Amino acid sequence: MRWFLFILIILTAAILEAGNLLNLIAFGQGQIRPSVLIILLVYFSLRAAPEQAIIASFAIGLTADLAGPVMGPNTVCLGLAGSLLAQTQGFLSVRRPAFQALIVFLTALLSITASHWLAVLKTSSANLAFSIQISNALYSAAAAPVLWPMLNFLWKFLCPPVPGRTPGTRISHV
Amino acid sequence: MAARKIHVAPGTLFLALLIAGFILLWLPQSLTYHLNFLFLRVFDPLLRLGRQVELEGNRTHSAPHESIDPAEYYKLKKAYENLSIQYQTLHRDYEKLSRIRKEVPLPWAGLVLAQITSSTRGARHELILNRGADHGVAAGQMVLSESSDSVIGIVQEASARMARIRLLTDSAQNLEVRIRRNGSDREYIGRLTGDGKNACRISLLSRDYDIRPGDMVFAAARPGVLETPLVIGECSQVRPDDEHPLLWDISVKPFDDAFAQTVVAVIVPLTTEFEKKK
Repeated sequence: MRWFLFILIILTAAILEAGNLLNLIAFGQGQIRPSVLIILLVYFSLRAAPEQAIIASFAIGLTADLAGPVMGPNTVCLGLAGSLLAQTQGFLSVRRPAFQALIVFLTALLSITASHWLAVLKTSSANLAFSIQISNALYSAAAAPVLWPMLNFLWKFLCPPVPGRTPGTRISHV
Repeated sequence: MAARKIHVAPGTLFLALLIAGFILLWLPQSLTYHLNFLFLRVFDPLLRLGRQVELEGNRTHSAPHESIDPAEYYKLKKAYENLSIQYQTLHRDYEKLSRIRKEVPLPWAGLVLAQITSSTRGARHELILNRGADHGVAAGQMVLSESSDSVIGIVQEASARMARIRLLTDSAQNLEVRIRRNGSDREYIGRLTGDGKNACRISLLSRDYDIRPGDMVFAAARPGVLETPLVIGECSQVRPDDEHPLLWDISVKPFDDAFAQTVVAVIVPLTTEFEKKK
């Protein structure tokens, strides 16, 4: 994988999450926004080779922490979620948009909730906005099938095919 | 010489990164928040993108009528409420210390104007300001709206050049407030919390207290932070608490929409190190 390009992609996603641009497509007075980093996490976890998927997951988690107010919770939760997803590559097919949306929704819901509670442990200040977290997870799920083809396009530059090697069965699932 | 490719088993790699993540998590927030501010500072111009468009969207365009413009009305109302409570505070002080010559207390010691570079409106309600400890901004200080007449949030943490503001509507917010009716001397003490949307709530107040919609809510004075109470908003809904019928469940509508601001003012007390140096 071309890691420099990967870092550029996740930094762009982090800037979108921390900045104001996503507010332009937000609902509920700007409170409900899709999480681009979670969609990237699911995509790379299911597409990259296991070692690369693990590194990519923790890197996305670290970037999510940088874009947020607390360091650590997303690194742990997104890293864990991405690594677990990477283990399902052989038997999880996400070619259909509905499956993509479902996996993104479950990953977003679980990882956002878990990282929220880890952040509470660290800072002792709890935001009790579960409805917003669920709505964000739903919005991320809805946005996943839209972003998926773009990520498929970017993947050609991230992981150009090596001459003499054919894409394995793992790639055909995505 | 060609670089040697290091091969690490996926399990080992996962464990190493997970341990690194936990170390990052267990490091104190006072150490790690500098990294968050570093990210905000480095990508500041990119993070600002879209803010102007968002502000334009928030702005309401109304045709001129015979009646007063709502923005003007609220501005005057806030000014009136602030003057009113300052007058009452002064009057009480005067009554207590009528024999002692007393200097008129300044409403606040100093204001630092800061531009909003970014805002978060999801589970957290926060603003990022382009002023930090170098300008005297520190955690715990009150943040006022652009016209400096109502409280909109509190500084949560500050780096040298930036600060993170937790807004009153954030569900983790907890601020001591006073509820007072116009023309009445009686005031009630309560704790204000954000509802995570666009309003605030005050709970745990007995229904014996005479509180009605329209009563004013003020941030309580705190020595060194806020010398006189300052208006926040008004009680928009007062109803019995569903779970505790003997208590009020009060909704408070802040006067100013923090997300519609471009510039805010931070109250910087004169007693800070920054002012002493000056």
